[in-house]
Amino acid sequence: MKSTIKFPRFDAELDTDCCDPYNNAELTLTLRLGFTQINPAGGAAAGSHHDYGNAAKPTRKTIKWTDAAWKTWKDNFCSTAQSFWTGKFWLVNDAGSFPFVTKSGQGYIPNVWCRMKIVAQDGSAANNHHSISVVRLDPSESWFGSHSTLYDSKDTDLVQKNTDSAGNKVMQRAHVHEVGHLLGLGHVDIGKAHCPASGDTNASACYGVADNDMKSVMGSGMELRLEHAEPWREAIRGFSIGEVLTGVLAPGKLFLPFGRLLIGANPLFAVWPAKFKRHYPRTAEEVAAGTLITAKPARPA
Amino acid sequence: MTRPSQRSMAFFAAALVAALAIWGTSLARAEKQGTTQNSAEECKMDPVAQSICVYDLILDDIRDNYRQRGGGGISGIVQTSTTGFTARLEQEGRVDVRSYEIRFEADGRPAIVSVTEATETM
Repeated sequence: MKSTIKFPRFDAELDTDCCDPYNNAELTLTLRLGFTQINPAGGAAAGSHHDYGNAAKPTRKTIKWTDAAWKTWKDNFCSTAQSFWTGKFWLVNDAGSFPFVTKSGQGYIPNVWCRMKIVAQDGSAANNHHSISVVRLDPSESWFGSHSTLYDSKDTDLVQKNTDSAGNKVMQRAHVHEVGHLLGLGHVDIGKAHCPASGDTNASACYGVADNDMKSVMGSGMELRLEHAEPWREAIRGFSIGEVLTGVLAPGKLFLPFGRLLIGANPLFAVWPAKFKRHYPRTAEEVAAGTLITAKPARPA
Repeated sequence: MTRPSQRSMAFFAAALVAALAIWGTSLARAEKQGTTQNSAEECKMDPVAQSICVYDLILDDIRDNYRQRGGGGISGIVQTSTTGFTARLEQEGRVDVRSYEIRFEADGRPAIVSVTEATETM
């Protein structure tokens, strides 16, 4: 079964059709991004644009987008950001949700593989989750002041963002960091004393002070952390609780949610711990025992 | 047995090594403090020279203490009061603003009293 929940930031689709003794359910978050070209004024081949789109800021030389350059840039943006975020996390099903029974009569509880898809659309499309305008920098320019809705053609490049305590460069591709924001993730040090959640969470200290923090993709680096699975966890809780509500409305399915209490699982209090490693579907007994299966198990056909 | 001339040469060599070590340590300390520190004579020469000393001091501080070395670099250093200056550093989505309070020593050289950092989200 495939079901969809539309969140403000993305659409989430849960696919349980792919579940079998070895394959988990798949949860795909889809971001529809509306891209709009920003070209030099008056149809000119070359011009300039102010940093941040703010007339008080320095100008950078820009050139007109060609159809080929525009397509190449969008394709590169989507493919590289998507490959960075998709398929990296598994959520361990401690809710007992989405149980299925194989032809042999063996029941399993799947975990959830976290996937992500970026769909590039025209900026004028009505169903965009986010809109992004893009300037094409002249080749002589190395930097442009971007922000969350105004990008430049070099924002997909890997560039230095910070320096660790040993003097090493901390590198990042800006667009993968921004896609993290589009999924709902905040900066790495939000909530710490030097970056209170009540303050400006865009302050430089919020990008990480300790080396390990600044290397996070939600700091100044490119490293994924388990906490970055939070958008998928948020979405799966929606599906899990929705499944319970469906069971309440359809008494014939009630045994499913109530049956979970027997294995110590409860969708309302489930944590859905995130893992970087594939965890195979489990039987109810394995769930009850807290067994985690990371090597391919022998299962009846 | 060592002859007097050999002892002198050994002493000279040891003294040379010691001198090099002291010189190297001094150089390292000077680099850490910022080698562009201007002399008192330069800084009290006239107001423009003193301003140059202040800007050099701020640039030294940014070079030594501001680690977010990407972005658009320094877009401005502006005097906001007799002893107040702000340096603006452009980053993706924000401008980091470092505010400096400066005092002038009796010999005319500037020193940093305090540095605070704020952010303007763009």
